[in-house]
Amino acid sequence: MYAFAPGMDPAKLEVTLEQGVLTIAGERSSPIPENDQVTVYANERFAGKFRRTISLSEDLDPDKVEATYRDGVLRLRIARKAHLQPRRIEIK
Amino acid sequence: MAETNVTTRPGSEVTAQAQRVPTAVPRVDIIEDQTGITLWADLPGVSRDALEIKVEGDTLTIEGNVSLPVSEGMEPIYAEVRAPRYARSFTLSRDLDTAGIQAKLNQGVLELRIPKHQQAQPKRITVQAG
Repeated sequence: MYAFAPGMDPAKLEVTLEQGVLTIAGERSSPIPENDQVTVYANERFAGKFRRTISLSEDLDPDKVEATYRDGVLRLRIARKAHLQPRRIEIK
Repeated sequence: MAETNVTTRPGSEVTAQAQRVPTAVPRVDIIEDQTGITLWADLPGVSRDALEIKVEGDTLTIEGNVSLPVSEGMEPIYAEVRAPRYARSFTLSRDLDTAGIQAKLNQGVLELRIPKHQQAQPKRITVQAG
């Protein structure tokens, strides 16, 4: 899974997975200084707290979430629970 | 301030090359202070190598290609963002010194600093005691 969240400090990105519900939350502050020394021409970028929850399959393993953050994109790789993965049965 | 030093252009003026692939317009913040302009643009998924910043005449163009490290055999089951490319153009005033542009890209956010020409910067005149 990929989530676009540019300009974040990875330490401040909060990712949780609980009973198949994935939550991504964080906060981004505006770089625009709050004083009258500047003229603001455009203020389109998001600033503030954000939170997104996504329902995923319940067979995912919350202990096996691999999260990387690069170029402002959060990449999550979530493994299925081991006992639900197809298994090869050995024939004796 | 009566005169606008940066204006955003409508999407139709983005270069012809950019129109061949679905292109998103990146969101920007732009401010002006006494010594120049600062512009921030959200370009998630764009690496430094995939980013191009051009100045032609009074036009500043930012173009970037999105590259996601997709594993082989993976297929999207749900996608909200389909444009693999960002492009946006701006018209700059003559007061800006395009030779002095500085660009930084950090975690998908581009920060551009465009200084004003020396003569366009406010000067403080020291009043001497007579």
